[in-house]
Amino acid sequence: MHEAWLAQRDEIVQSAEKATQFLQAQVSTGPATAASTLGQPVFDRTYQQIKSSYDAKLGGFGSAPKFPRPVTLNFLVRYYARTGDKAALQMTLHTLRAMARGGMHDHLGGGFHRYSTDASWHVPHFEKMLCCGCGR
Amino acid sequence: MTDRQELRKKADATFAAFADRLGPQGAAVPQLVAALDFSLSKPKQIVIAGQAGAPDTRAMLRLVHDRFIPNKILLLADGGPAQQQLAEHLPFLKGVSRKDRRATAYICENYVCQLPTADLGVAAQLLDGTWKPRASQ
Repeated sequence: MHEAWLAQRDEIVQSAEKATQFLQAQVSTGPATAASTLGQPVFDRTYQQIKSSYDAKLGGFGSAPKFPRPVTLNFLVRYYARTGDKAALQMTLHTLRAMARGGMHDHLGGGFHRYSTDASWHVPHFEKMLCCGCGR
Repeated sequence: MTDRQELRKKADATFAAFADRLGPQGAAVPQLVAALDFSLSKPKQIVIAGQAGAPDTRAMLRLVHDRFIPNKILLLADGGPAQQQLAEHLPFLKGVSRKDRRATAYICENYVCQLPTADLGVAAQLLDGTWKPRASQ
């Protein structure tokens, strides 16, 4: 890295500027929409997006590797509380139970590994995060 | 927690800034959508007046944790400095204390509180929204 910095400094700075511009273009959202116009349609669309990636047989979302996101489940139980849509609750419970039965769950030491390398929760990626996987 | 409008405005500005993304890409930012859900709900303030760790306080807390109340704001009023500090923003906390030396629940919706109760049965009904005052009492 030191060599690259000495030999190609201009190119690196240029490339960093391009990346910054790209990020700025991504983040700028144009005229802000009033927060008051946000509401049920946002919840419904988010729910449909999550639902369309749900693995009804094995639990979880998307295909392997299955990377559980607590925030997705947090949204789903809130959606259930708001709308009474039982499928939102079922998706959450089925996913959590599948995770608890599978290899991602550390049955000896407690807690959960970071993700499942396969779609059926057999083989975990052996890494635990302090934030959400440490268990007892 | 403290009903400070300037913080509410900042939160609304955050939602507004990400409005274009919240609709079409909500699944990518579920916690932001969950925060929007909270901001559009009527908050339920639950203040437990009691001593931290005491059995009656824990029993009251168990009632709350037994239920899924996504719009709750849960506070412990132990009579100590933290309560005094919060009361600077939330004046009603000043008068919150145990009744008959028992852990007492103050259950409020939209910053309007029900009568405080130290009775677990009544507190459970208040949390579930099924409590009705008896006419004969």
